[in-house]
Amino acid sequence: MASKLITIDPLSSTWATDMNKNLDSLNSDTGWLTATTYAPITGRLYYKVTASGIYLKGFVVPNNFSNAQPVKAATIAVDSIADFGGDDKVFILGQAGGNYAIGTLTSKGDFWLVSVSGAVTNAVHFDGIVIN
Amino acid sequence: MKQVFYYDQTSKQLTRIGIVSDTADLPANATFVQPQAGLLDPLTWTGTDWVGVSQAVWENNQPAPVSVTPTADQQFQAQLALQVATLQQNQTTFNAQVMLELADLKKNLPTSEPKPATTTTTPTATN
Repeated sequence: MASKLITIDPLSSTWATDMNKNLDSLNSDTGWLTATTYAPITGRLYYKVTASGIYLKGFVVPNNFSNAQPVKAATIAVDSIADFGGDDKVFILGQAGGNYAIGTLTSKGDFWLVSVSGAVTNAVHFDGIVIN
Repeated sequence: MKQVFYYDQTSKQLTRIGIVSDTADLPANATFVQPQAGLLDPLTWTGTDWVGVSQAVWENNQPAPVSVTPTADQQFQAQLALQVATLQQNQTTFNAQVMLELADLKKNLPTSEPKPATTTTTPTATN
């Protein structure tokens, strides 16, 4: 992931504006936003988008989840500030009780819960996850 | 910064979420109203709020469950592994039985006390 920087041509008449836009992009930080979550998944999931990546925090509880069938758990914004790229991201999350979970984030911002090793009543935690 | 929720112009279904500055105007086919938690995907914009689909529709939309039926090769390998494990178990049981019988045999053997060593003297001829 990288910032959306503007190429400034030599002697460009808009160099000052473009430079400020680039600095704004490098310093951008949305602050913590509430992710849109879907049933049957419950919980509280937050994210913020910065130039250095997307930060996640919070948890979800994978109610009625089956490892045989991935479930779309949430949607977040991924394309407004940083350049996400075209490939899906995959990451391993901690699950309560010493377990783990596997999730993917599509380039459209959909988070899918793919697998959990623990019981579906155990919360899956996102604290410390950075996607970049 | 705040979130903006874009929906399809025709179906009104949520397509993506973007982020705009706090002072930005509302883009076309979008709303600043965030869907409440607990709705089943996909979400539809009614003009004032978001609604989800019913449980039956949601279940019908889910990806097909991953097949867990093993292939013929996997079944054959599993059978071979089972046979090897059974053979090993039988061999271990047999070895244990043999050891027990050997122990019994040794226990039942008559104990023979060692005989004292006898010394023989050969007479020497004297002239």
